[in-house]
Amino acid sequence: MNCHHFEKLIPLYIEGDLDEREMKQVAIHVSECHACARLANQFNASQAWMQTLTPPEFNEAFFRDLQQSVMQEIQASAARQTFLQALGWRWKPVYALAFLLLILFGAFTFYVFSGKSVVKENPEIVNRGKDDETPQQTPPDKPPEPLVMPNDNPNDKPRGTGIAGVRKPRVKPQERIKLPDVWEPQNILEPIVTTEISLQNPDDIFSEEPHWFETDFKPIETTRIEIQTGDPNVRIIWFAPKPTESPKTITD
Amino acid sequence: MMIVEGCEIALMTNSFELEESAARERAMALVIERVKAGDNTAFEQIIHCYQRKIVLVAWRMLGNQEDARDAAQDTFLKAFKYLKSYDTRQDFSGWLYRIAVNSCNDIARRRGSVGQFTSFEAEHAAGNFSDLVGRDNLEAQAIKTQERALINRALKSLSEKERAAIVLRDLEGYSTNEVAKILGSTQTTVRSQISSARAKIREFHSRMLVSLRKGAGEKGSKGEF
Repeated sequence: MNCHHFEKLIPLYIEGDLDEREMKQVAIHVSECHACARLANQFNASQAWMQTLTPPEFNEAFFRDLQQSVMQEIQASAARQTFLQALGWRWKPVYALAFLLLILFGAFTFYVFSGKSVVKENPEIVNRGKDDETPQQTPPDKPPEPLVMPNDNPNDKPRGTGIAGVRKPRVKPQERIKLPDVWEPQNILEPIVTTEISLQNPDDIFSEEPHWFETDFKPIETTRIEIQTGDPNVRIIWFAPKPTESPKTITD
Repeated sequence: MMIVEGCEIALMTNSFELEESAARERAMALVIERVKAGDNTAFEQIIHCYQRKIVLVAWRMLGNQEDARDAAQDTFLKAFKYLKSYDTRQDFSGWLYRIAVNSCNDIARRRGSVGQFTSFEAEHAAGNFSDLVGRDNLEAQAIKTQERALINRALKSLSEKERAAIVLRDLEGYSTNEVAKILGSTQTTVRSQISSARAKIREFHSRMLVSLRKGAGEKGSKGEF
């Protein structure tokens, strides 16, 4: 141990604030080291000087006045009892009640808003009354179920067009024909027939799974057939090959 | 009255013997129960029992009578206010001292300075020397006042915690364990604060002595430092 270590202990040593072991060590060092002994004497002198701080004589009038002022203030505060305190208002039960009300309000709010989120929003309901200026915003119409003829093999995979050899066209939402603003109900027995080549790439019309009666893969012209049902929201669209020979009847 | 006399005897002897301490605590517990029950007049006994000690501590912390009185008044008012939440298992005097130390720190911060020592003229005007007769006594008091001012200035150089620790330990005579309980700290922390405070006091005292020697060397006039 060196003097630097004992210098830190000497302020506590002079008033006996060290444990027994440390007190002995410092006492031995101070007796051997002149510098530390001088330091200890300086500390003793300063302590003695500080402890000469004697307070002034406080007379009885001082204490009497202090006591009276304190009691007056206590009585005044009791007289200043608030209206709530007069009602027996206690803060702790009020805090507990307020906390309980807050929890109930939170639970009620959660119940109300969670119930609204459970209901799945119907796009039609969402878009009802709104201008349909951008077709992209409306979800694409679900393609109608293809007509299934009675003589069709029920094991056959349903075909999008109902006509063999024609691949199910890829109708992109952007290519949908926009309906006229004014829609007159059409007789279901009078289909709207439009003739157009709906596909640009001839390869696209080839079916991935050619039908059993197909022999050649040739691009064919298709006819777009639309049938508007009584419900203005339901429309049947399919692409039929443009008849070049005698048209096949439905029963074929 | 028995309670009051018991308090005064214990305070005069400054004794912390277990029997007296236990008896005092029991008596104080009865008074506190009465105050909690709504008997405000019982609080007068508490004031009478502790006012001297609290005023002395406040004076040593703040350095002048006016601030000491304000701090003592604030201490007792807070004690009355928070007496309902006082735990009877803890030491009442330590609890009261803690309130007193905090009040002193609040006033010191509000005033902006600590240890605005009272000058000899101010104390004379206050009539503190009215009992003294003769020029010698007045002169002695003037020297004493000057010394007091210097010591207060030395205490002013300490931080709040150092000042509280050294006043309670070296001037009030509490042990480091009791000081730690009063200040709500640990013994290690209190020892550290006391050590630092004593080192600063020693430094102040050394510089004061050097200044006095210089002043004595300059035709007997005291130098300022």
